[in-house]
Amino acid sequence: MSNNLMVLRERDLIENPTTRLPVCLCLDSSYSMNGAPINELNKGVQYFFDAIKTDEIARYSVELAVVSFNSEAETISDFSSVDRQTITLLEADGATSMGEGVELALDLLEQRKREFSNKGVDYYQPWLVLMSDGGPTDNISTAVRRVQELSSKKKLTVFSVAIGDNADITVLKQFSSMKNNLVLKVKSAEHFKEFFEWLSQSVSVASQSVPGDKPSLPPTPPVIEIEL
Amino acid sequence: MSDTWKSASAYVTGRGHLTKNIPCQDRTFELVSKHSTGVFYGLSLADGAGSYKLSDIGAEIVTKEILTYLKSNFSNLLQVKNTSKKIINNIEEQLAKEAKNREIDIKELSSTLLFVVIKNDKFIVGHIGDGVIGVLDKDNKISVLSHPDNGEYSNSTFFTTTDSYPDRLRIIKGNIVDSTGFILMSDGSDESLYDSRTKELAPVNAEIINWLNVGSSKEVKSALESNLNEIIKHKTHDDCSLGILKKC
Repeated sequence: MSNNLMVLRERDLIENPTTRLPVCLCLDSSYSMNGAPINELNKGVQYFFDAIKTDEIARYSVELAVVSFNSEAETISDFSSVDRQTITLLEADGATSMGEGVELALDLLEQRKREFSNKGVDYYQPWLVLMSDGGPTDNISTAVRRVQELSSKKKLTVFSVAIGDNADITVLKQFSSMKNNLVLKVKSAEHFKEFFEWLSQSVSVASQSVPGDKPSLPPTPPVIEIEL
Repeated sequence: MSDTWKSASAYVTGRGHLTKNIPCQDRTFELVSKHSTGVFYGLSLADGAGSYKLSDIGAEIVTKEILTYLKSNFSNLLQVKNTSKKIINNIEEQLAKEAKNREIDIKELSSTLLFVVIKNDKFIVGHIGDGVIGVLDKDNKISVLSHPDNGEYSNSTFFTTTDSYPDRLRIIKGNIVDSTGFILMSDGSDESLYDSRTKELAPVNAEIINWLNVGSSKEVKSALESNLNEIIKHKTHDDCSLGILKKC
């Protein structure tokens, strides 16, 4: 028999939805971020979204949400395809309700996971990226407990990122799910671009992982310090 | 007189592995053995764990060893209640031996495992981890016999070396009555052939199994390889493999 008759056609195959990687940025927009820090952070976030959009694989796999926290926590952008999102610029003002911000981010991630499950969409372990230049002004105990519970069950990856020298490393370490609870430190606002460049590369790697894979993230750039 | 079965299988390196210069970690194996008590037909498939460099070796070992073991113990395993435990013990023994020889952790040899074996119109099917096992009935209707068993997340699954392994080996055994064919696939292939939303196999799976009605095993193997390379692997980054078994 000729092999010509044993040929699959594209139309006979299943078009399964792309496996999603939900990533939530949880960003400090308190008053201490006023001026250059918030401006550079806004540029960094925009750069991150643009980098994801131009990555052939991450573009269809990564879903981003942005939460900001100052005196209150606010959803700046809920989960969606990056192609459909426009980013509202953050303004720095008020206190540092980090606990509220992290809880809102966790709620968004849980909601998105439920939506994926209901629609039969496969997904990777979600990421939470927490960035702050100070210490919390609200109670963070519930947020810490929720994060640590999820992290210990390998249900959440958290990158804690300190901005500058005044960030409360002790607090950020409580949220980190990285080895030895390490915290990444962006030395100054001018280096946000390098951080988001690294983050977009890391997201791209994770969005291509297959069962049994432990994604090997790219090394952090020199301008990012590791706080153990 | 028992029915005669034909098989074919193939595996190809995925795009992700080609980019990273990693060997194909999927494996398939077929075994036909004639004996005075009947003919044994076996088909197995394994997908090595992506995070372990030697998982292709592990996949190769389990695909061969499982069929060799089942061939020698088929009648006994059909009758006993602890089929899963007996099979597990054998595989662990084989993997442990290899790990000792290579002086590596047994987890380096981790893989999924899917198999179907038939003798005298009785069958044993087994499945650990992701991938799909489908069955074709006499009305040419394809259905899922064993679904992917992942963790919650897409890049997690269960392997031959997983600590909770005994609970993860799903065994189905019984008599072949209306079944006329089987298909085994790794998760790379199921992205094209299994609907993750409806949990159903694409009808084209029946067509693939039926290729064995009209082509020789060698011709069908070649066709499987071509289709994996030319169409199925382009819809995934993962390695892709398929195995089929058909009553002829």
